[in-house]
Parts: sequence; structure tokens; C-alpha cells
Amino acid sequence: MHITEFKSLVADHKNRLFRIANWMLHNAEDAEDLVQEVFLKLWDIRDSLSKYRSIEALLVTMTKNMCLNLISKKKLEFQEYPMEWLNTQCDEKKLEHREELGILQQIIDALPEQQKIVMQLKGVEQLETNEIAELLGETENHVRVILCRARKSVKEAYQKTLRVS
Amino acid sequence: MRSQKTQQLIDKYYKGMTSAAEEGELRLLLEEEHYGNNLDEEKLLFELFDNNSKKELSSNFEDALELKILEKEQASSAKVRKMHPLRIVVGIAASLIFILGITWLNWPEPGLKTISESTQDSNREVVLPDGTTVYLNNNSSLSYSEDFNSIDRKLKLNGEAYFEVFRDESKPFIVESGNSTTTVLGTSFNIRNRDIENDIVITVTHGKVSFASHDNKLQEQVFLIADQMASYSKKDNVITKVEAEDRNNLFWQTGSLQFNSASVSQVIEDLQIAYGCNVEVGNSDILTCPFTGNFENESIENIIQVLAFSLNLKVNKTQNSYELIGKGCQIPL
Repeated sequence: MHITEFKSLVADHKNRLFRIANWMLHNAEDAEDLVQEVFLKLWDIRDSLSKYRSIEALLVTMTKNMCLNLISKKKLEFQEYPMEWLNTQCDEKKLEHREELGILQQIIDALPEQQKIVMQLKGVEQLETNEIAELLGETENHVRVILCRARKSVKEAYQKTLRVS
Repeated sequence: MRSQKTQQLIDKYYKGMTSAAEEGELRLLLEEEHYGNNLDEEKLLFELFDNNSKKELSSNFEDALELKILEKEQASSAKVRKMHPLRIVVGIAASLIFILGITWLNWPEPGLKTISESTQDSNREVVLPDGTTVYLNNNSSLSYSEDFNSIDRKLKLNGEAYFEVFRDESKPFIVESGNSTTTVLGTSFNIRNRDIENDIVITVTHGKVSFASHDNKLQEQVFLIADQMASYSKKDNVITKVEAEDRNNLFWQTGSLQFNSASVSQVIEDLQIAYGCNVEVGNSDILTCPFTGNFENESIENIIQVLAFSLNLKVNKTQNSYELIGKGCQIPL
């Protein structure tokens, strides 16, 4: 593969991978470094890409796995959010939602990884169920089940915190 | 109260059955219908998604990635073969040399002025808008568009020039010549481009360079680091990467030539490029003799005398050419 071809591949996928990594890591710098690592690994295997059913699926899987590795390595704890992160998450005019958004984010982070990823691909990337299935190598039906579980548990957990407070 | 439509969509949403379009519709409906309060879970979730969907990588991501790839390629440049063993590298730091092919046409974008610099019989120093210094050798010219240094730093060269590139990783420095493109992010280099038939040769003495051909049929690219050379054959459109054994290509800048057990054929080739003179041998056995010697700002006359003396040859001088006469040596290369 020539570098120009590789570069167009990078341009096509970089921001989606970055958003996935940022969704998982909550740190733009770490996410950027991680996406760079993903593409460097892709460069190493550039001559055998025809083996894979979809390069995007490969990239998403690599990103997901490397995020999980990094999380377990750093033992990141999302129990308490640094204020800088919350500030970057919210527009100033929506400042009053900050606390609620933080709670919601904590709930999502506590979800099983597969649910977390599916929520991101559906909610942030706004992909269709069949596209998500393709990217994750799952059946469409299973993606629906994951989505259904994720949304219900987020709703239940959120309403529980509201009742407590 | 939520409308029936909204409620239907929400039910579907929690079953994981909504399409992207339906979720977009639900988003709008929740905005429009002022039911409940702003802290409803679904609305907040959409807000959270919106905040995340705006996120993008920093603008220099691709340049930084490309640089890392360059570094990676250099680290694994095991395929490099030796060309002239034992020839020693001495010379200028922070420079890389290459010799490129001629011809370029139709380059500048319409509406933008083209700025040209050229020399005839002498060398000249040119400072480009980005701070890069260019030493333009005789009978050479370069041109660049008015928007040089806006997005990238692209120029065309005909002839020979030595570049000291101002480092700016966000704007790659690109030299186009014939069917070749050379890309650096910041370093120094020399380009020579004298003859349509001759190979394009690039020699790197410092820094990192991507050297690529873009012939219609096939593309090739090599990455070079210090003391590596690549030559591009215009005839076959093939790039060959080799170790640079000396910096004699920089003669026009340094005035020095180094030969360390170099073959006479190599010495003759370098002398012809350095002094523009013609050197011939009466007996082809001479070509494989080894020769060692360093010359600093020496005349061609003296160099030929030293060469002949050390190899026990006679010199036959005609107008602008020298002929070396004698036998081959006892221990050829």
C-alpha cells in the first residue's frame, strides 16, 4: 500500500476512532496517542489488509481493545470525575446540567464494555444497527439486545440516583 | 404530556429497535414538546452524545503520524545495500543531497503568481518566505507559488540547489522534479538535476526524507536517513536505495572530495560531476584500481597528477579532457 492510499484511510477513519477512544478514556490526549498507535499498527500490517472483511471493523476492534488494555493498565477509576473533564463536556449555557451529565456519564462508564461501545456507536456516531453489527462482528439481533439492555439499565440507574437525592 | 408518536418512538428506542433517522426524530420531538423538565434522562443522554460527537483530533495529527511512520521506516531500513565499501563519509552535517530529474510544467495554480529564482554562471543564495535558505548552483532555477508556506511549502527545482529547510512540522517541505517528489519536514539537503537521461540521485547526510516517484504506471517511495542515497532511474522508473559512502556530491558547496579505496571509475565519475571535465582511460583495467586521497579546493590538474602518480600512469591532456594511460594495478578491487 502506498502512503497516499494509507493517508486517505487515516483521513476517513481518524475522527470516529478518536471519539470512540475519547468516549472510553475521557482524556483527549490519551485518546489521540492511542489512535496514533492504532494507525501505526495498521501501517505495519498494510500489506495484508485484504485478509480482513472490513478495515473499519478492524480499526474499531483495535481501538476498542487498546482502550481496554490502557484502562486496565492504568486502572482508571471513573468514580470521581475531574472538574476539567466536566467543563469540557458541557457548553457554558448548559452549565446547570453539568452535575446530571456527570452522573449519567458515570452510569454509562459502569456498563459492560460491549454495551458502552454500542451506546457510543449508536448515540454519538449515529450508526444503524446493521452497521454496528458489521463493525463489531456481531449479529444485528444481538446488537439490538445489547442496546436495549444498555438503555434500560442507564434509565433505571439514573432514576434510582434521582430518587436517592 | 408526550404525544403518541413520541411515546411510540421511546418504546421502540428502549427496545433497541430505532433507526438513526428515528432517533434523530425523537431528539427533535423531545426538544419541541416541553413535557417534564430538562433533566429527563433521554434528553440528557442526547446532550451527552451531542457533546461527544463534536470532538475531533487536533489538526497536526496526520503530520505527527506521518513523521512517526517515517521514523519507523528508517528504523527498519535493513534492505539497504552497500554500494562502494570503504568509502568514508566526511563532510557537512545537517545536510542531505539529492539529484533530481528535470522538467516541470503547468505547476502553479491559476490566479496565483509564480515566483522564480534562477542563476546562470554563478551560485546564489536565496531566502524563501518560510526562512529556508537555498544555495542555487549555476544554471539552475527554482519556482514556487505565491501561496508558498500557507498550507505546505512546495517548490520546483531545475538544476542543483542546496537547501537548509526551516523546521516546521505542520507544513511539509516538498520539492518536485520530473517524476519525483521529495518530502521533508525540516532539515537540509542538496538537489541536482542536470540531464534528462541521468538518474535522479538523492543523498541524505542529515535528517529524514521521503523520496517518491510518480510515473503514470507505478509509484515507488523510499525513506532515507543520514548517509543514505537513492537513485531514481528515469528509464526504468525504479528507485534503488544505497548507503552513501562519501559526500562528494556536495563538492560544489564544500570544495572537497574524499576517496577511500574508491575505484578509478568512481573517481572519474565524481571528477566529471565536480569539475565538468572529461576523463578517459586508455585501458579498461585501470577502472577497477583502488584509489585513496582527500582533496580540499584542489585544481583538477593537481588531482589528475596525484591520481596518475599513485597508480603509476601517464597523463595525456587534450583541450578539456584527460586520458590516463598505463596498465591496470596488481590488486584490483
